[in-house]
Amino acid sequence: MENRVKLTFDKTVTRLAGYSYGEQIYLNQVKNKVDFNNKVYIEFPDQIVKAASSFVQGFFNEMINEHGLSSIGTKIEIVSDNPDLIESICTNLV
Amino acid sequence: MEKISLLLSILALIISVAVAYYQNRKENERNKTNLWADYFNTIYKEHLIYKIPESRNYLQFVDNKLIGTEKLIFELNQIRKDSVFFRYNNNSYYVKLKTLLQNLEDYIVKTEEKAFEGGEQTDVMNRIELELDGIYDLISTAYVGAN
Repeated sequence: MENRVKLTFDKTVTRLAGYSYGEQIYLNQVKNKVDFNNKVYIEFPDQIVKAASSFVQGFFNEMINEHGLSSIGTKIEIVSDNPDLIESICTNLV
Repeated sequence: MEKISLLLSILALIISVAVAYYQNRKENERNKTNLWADYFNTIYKEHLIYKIPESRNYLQFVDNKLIGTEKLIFELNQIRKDSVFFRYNNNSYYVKLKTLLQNLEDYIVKTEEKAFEGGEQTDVMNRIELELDGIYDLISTAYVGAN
C-alpha cells in the first residue's frame, strides 16, 4: 500500500492560511492515516496555489515535533504540481 | 587625631570602591544597550527603510483582485526568520512580532482569493497599511527600549 495521503479542500479554496486551520487539516486528514515508519507522501491538490507560513507551521507542527525538522523532505515528502508551493512550505516550516 | 585620619582614609576607600562599582555597572549597562541597538540596526534597518516600502509598492488591484503580493509576503517571512535571534533572548517580543507578521500574511493570502470593488479595494489597502504600521511600531518601540 502506498503510504500517501491526498489532502482535500473545498473546491473554492486556492490558498491556505491560519495556524489552527493547518493543525485541523493535519488532525483530520493525516494523523493516524499514514505509517510514519515508512516514507510518507503528502499531496496537495492542484487547486492549492499558496500556503501562508502560519498554515504550514500549524500543519507540520506535530510531525516536526515527533519526527524532527529534517524529516520533511526526506521521510515526509510534499507532493504538488506547483514547485513554488513546495518551496514556500519547505522555507516556512519554522 | 590618628584615629580620625584612619577613619577618613577608610571612608575614602569605601567611597572610591563604591564609585568604581557604580561606574562599572553603568558601563556594562551602556555596553549592553549599545549591543542591543546594534542587533536591531543589523536585523531591521534594510527591511524597514528599503525593502518593506519597496515591496508594498507592487500591490495593486487588477480585475478586482489583489495582485503583486509575492514580494511583500516574502519580506514579512524574511523579517520573521531574521528575528529568530530574539526567540531566545526576548521571547515575548519575538512572539508578538511573529503574530503581527503572520496575521498580515494571512490577511493578504486570504484577500487574494476574493474579488473587491471600488471602496472595498481602498479598505483592503488601508488595512494592510494599518497592519504594517503595527509592525513598524512594535519594532521601533523595542528599539527605543534598547536605547
